Amino acid sequence: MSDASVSEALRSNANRVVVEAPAGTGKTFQAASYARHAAIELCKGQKVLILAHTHAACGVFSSRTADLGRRLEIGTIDSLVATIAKVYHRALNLPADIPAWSIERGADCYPELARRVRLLLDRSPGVAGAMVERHPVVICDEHQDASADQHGIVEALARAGARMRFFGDPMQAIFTVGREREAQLRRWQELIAASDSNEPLDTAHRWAVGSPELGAWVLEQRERLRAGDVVDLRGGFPRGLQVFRADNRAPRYGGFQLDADVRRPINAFVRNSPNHLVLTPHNATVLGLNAFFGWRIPIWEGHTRDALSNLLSTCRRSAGDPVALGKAMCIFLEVVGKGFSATAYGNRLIQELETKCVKPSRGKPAEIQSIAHLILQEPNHVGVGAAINRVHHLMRTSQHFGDIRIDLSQEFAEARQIQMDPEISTVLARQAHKRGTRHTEMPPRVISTIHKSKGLETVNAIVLPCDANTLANNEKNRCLLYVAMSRACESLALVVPQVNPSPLFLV
Amino acid sequence: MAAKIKRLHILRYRGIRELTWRPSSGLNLLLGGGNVGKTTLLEAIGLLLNPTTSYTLADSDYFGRRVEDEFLIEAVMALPCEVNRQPGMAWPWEWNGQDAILAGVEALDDSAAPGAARPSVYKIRVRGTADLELVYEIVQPDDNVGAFSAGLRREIGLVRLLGDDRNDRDLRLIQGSNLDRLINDRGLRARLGHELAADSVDRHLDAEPRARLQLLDEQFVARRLPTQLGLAFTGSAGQSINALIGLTADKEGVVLPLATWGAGTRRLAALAIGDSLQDGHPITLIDELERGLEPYRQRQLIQRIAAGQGQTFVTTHSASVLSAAMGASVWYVDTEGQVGELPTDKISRHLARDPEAFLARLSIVAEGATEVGFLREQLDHALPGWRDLGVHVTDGGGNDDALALLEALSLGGVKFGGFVDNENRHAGRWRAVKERVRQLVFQWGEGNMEQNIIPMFPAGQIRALIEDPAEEKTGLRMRTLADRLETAETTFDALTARARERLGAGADQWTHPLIPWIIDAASGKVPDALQDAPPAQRNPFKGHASAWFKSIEGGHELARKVRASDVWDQHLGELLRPFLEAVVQTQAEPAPIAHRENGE
Repeated sequence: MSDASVSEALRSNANRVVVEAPAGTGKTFQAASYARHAAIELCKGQKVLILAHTHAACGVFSSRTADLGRRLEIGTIDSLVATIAKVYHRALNLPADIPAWSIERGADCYPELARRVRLLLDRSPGVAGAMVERHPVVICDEHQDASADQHGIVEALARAGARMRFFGDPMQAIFTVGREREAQLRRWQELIAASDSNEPLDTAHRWAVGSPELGAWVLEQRERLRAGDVVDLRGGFPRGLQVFRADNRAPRYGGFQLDADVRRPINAFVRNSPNHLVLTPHNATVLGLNAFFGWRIPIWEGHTRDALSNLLSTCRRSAGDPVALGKAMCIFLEVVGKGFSATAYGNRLIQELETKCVKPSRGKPAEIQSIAHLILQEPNHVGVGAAINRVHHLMRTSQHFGDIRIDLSQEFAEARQIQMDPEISTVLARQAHKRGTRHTEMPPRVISTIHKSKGLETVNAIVLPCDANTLANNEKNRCLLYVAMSRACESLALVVPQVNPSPLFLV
Repeated sequence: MAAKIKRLHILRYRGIRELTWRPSSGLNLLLGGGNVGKTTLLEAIGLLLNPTTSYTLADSDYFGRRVEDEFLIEAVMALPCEVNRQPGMAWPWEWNGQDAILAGVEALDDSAAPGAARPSVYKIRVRGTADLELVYEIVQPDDNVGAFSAGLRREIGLVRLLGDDRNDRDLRLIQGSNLDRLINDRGLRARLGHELAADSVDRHLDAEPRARLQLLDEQFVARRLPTQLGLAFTGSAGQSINALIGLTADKEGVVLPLATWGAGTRRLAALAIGDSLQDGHPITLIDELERGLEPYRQRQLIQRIAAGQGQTFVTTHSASVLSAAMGASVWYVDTEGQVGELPTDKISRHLARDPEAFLARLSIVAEGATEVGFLREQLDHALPGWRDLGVHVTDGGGNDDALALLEALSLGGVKFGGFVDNENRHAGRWRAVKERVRQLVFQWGEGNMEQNIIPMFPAGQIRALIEDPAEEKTGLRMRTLADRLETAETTFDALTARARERLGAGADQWTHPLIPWIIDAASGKVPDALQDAPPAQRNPFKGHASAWFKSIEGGHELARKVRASDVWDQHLGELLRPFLEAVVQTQAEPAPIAHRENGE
C-alpha cells in the first residue's frame, strides 16, 4: 500500500515531502504522475521543476512526461548551477563563458561552481524568489547524491517558498567515500527529520514482468545490507538468481581469466540473453572483461567524455605548442584504447614533433611522421583531430597499427570530429551541449561499471568478480552491491570465487 | 508585486539628450516651464511600457533627428511576478537605493553574514534603432538581453492620459487597452469576425450602385476572374474589428460613445477603467491633469490618485492640483531637461499657500509682504508686463522660511531669485544659494529694507514719506512716532523738535531727526527699555509696523515714494540695478528645447 500513501503524501499541501525510493519501486512513475498533478494547479507561465543528477535521468523523466510540454522543466542540478553561474558570472567572479571555463577546468569545477552559486543564493534571496515564482514546485531526484552545496541551493528554493518533493535512496549513495559520505548520509537524515511527511516506496515494480521473487529477494537483501548484514548465498534462491563459483586466474590487476570448465556456464548465461548488463565494480576490470568476452560486448561509456574533455582543454591552453598537443593526444589514445603505447608510438611521435619531422624515414616511422605532420601543420585542435583521424585510418590500412584496439569507441569517434570546426570555442560549446543532450541509445548488451549502470534497467545482469579485493566489506561497497543486484528484472548472476570471496556474501 | 519604476534613464529621446531620474513609488508631480520635456518624460515611460506593438517611430523621436545615433529608454523596475513566468527566464538584480546591482559576493566564503534582503528589480529597456525600429529588451545580470514582450508589458498595466484627447484608446477595445483587459473576452474578435463576415453590405446598396457592382461582375466573368461579387465586412492586416468598438453610455435617452463626452469626463472614465482592473496597481501617466476639469474636480482627482497604491506620473500647471497634492513627490524639470526633487518637507507649507511659485518661469522669493509689494512696483518699471512673462513674486514668510524655500528651489532646479533681509545668520547657507543664481538673489548689506531705504530720504521729503496717500494712516503714523518719542503732541513739527532734542549731538548722522523713529516704527521694533517687559506692553510697539509699510500695499507705497523722490536716482537705483537687470536677463534666455516636433 506504500504506492497509495506516497501518492497521497506527494499531493498533500505539505511543503517538504521525502520519499525513500529503493531501485525499481516506481519512483519515476510517482514523480512523473505527481508532476502531472501539480502542473494542473499552476498559474500561466509557471512550471514544475525536476532536478536530477544525471542527464540519463533527465532523459527518463522527459520520456515519461512528454505530454506536459511547457508546464515542466527538467534539468540536472549541475546545469541549473551552470545557468545561474552564467547569468551572475560577474557577481561570482567568473568569466562569461562558463561552459568553456568548466571544460577547461575539467569535472572538478562543478563543486566550486556549486559553492559559489550556493553563496549567491544565500546572499541574494531575490534570485531564489524569482526561480520559485517560475517553479513553485520542485522535485529533487536522487537527492542522496546531492553535495552540501547542491543541497544548500535546493534549500534556498525551499526557503523562498517552493513546494519541495525529495526522492532518494541512501542505499544508492555510491559516489562518495569517507567524511563526505558520512556528511551526505547525515544530510539525508536531517532532511527526513525536517520533512513534513516521509514515506517509503516498497513495491518491486521493476520485477513484475520478470521475476517477482527476485524483486522481493533484492529488497530483502537491501534491508540486510543496510543493517550491516551480509547477503546469504547458502541456498533458498529465488527464481532468477544464479551464483557461479569461479576463481579469477588472471595474474594482472584488472585482468579476468577463468578455467575452461567454470567458464562454460557463464558464457552460456551471457550468450543466451539478448539484453544483458555485465557489471563490475572497477574501471580497470571493465577492460579486462572486454578482453575476456573477446571484445564482442561493447563498453558502456555513459554520458560523460572525460578523456576528450581533458584533450580539448589542453588544445585550448596549448594551441601553438605541437609537443604539448602530441603528448595530450598520446594520453587520450591510451585512455580510450590499448596499444598506442609510449614505447611503440608515443616517444617517436614526440621526437618527430620536437625535430619538426626533418629526419627522412620509411615504414612505421614514416607513418608516425605523417601523424606528426598534421599536428605541426596546424598546432591546435584541428591538427590534433586530423592526427587522431589519421591514426584511425592507419589502424585499418597499415600492418604497423593493427594492434591498436579502441575500447571507448564513442569517445574516439567524437575525438575524430573535433577538427570539423576551426573555432575551439564552438567545439567546446558543442561538447557541452552534447553532454546535456547525449541520449545515445544503449546497446542491448554492454559491459559497464556499477557506477555507470546506476539508473539503468535490464533483463539480465551478471556481476563479477565478487572477490574480497574488489568488494571489501564497507558501507559504500554494500551500496555498490545493492545497486548492481537491483538492475536486472529477470535474472541475476553473481560470480563468486571459491578462494577469497567477498565478505559481503555468506557462502 | 506592483510595477514601480525605480530608476529611469533616457538617452537621446526626442528633446532629451540624457536624463537619469529616480522617481518615488507613489505620486510624482512634475512641474516646470513650457517646453522643458515634461511631456517627453511621460511619453518615454509610455513608450517603454507600451502594451501594444503598434507604434511607428519618426525621425523626430531621435534627439536632433540623428536617427543613426539611436535612442534608449531604460528603467530599473520592480515588476509583477509575471516577469518570471515568461517563456524566457528573467533574472533579478538587486536595488541598492540608487541603481540595479549584483549581490556583493566579493568574499566568496561563509564568513560574511547574509546580506539584508534587497528588493529584486529588473532592468528593462526599449531602443529605437537606426532602422526606425523599436526593440524591447530585458537586460539580464550578465548583460545578455531577453525579450521584454508585449504580453509582459500588458501585465504591468499602463494607464495613459497623454497629449490631446483625440486619442481615446483606453475607451476602446483595442488590444492591450485597459478596457480590453477589463472585458477580457478572448474569443470576441473571432466571433465578431464571423458575424460581420456573414452580413453582406451589398443588400443595403441603392439600385444604381448595385447595377455598377453587377457590371463589374460581368467584367470579371469576361476575364475569367472569380465571380458572384458582393460587398461585406472583411478584416485586413493591422485592422482590428475591436478597434471599432468603443465604450458607450446613455445621454438623455441616446446611446453615445463615451468618446464624445467632454475631455475631463473622458479622462476620468479612462482612469476609472484602469482603477477597476482586478490586480491593478497600474502605472499611470497623466499629462496636464487639470485639462478639462474644474478646480474642484482637479482637487478630487489628485487626492484620489495620491491615496492610491500605484505609481503615478502627473504633469500640471494648475495651482489647485499642486495645493491639493498631499504626500506627493514634487519634481521640477529644468531647462536643461534634468529632473530635480523639491523636498516636500521644506516646501509643503509654501505649496499650500502659494503654489504658483512652483509653476512660474522665474519665482522671486521676497522676505515678506512689504518686499512683495515693493518688488512688484519695481518690476513694473524694470520689466513691464512681468507677470505675463512668467515672473512670480512670492512671500517667503520671513527670513528663515525664505532661506529654506530658496534652498529647496535650488535643489529642485527651479529658476528662482530672492529679495531678502540680512539678519547676519546662516552666512554659509546664504552663500550657497547665491552661488547658484548669483545676481538673482538680492540681500541687503545689513538689516531690513526699512533700515536701508528710509535713511535715503532727504529732509525735505520726510513729511511726504509719512503721509499716507489714502489719507487713512497718516494720523496713526504720527501717533506711533509720538508713542516712541513719549510725547502727547502729534504734529510733524512738534515730533521733529522732540526727536532732535532726544538725539542731541547724534542728530547729525541723519538727514532728518525723525528718521530713526520712523525706521523703528515701520519695523515694529520694541524699544530697548521694554525688551524684558510683559507682552502686553511690548505688543503695541510691534503693531506699529502695520500702520506703516508692512503689507503688500505698504510695499507698493514705499516703492512709489522711492521713485517719486530722488531716492531712486541718488542711491537705490544703483544698488538694485544688478538684481533687476538679472531678472530682465532671464527673459532673454532662449526657450530650452526649441526644436520640437511634438511640442507642448
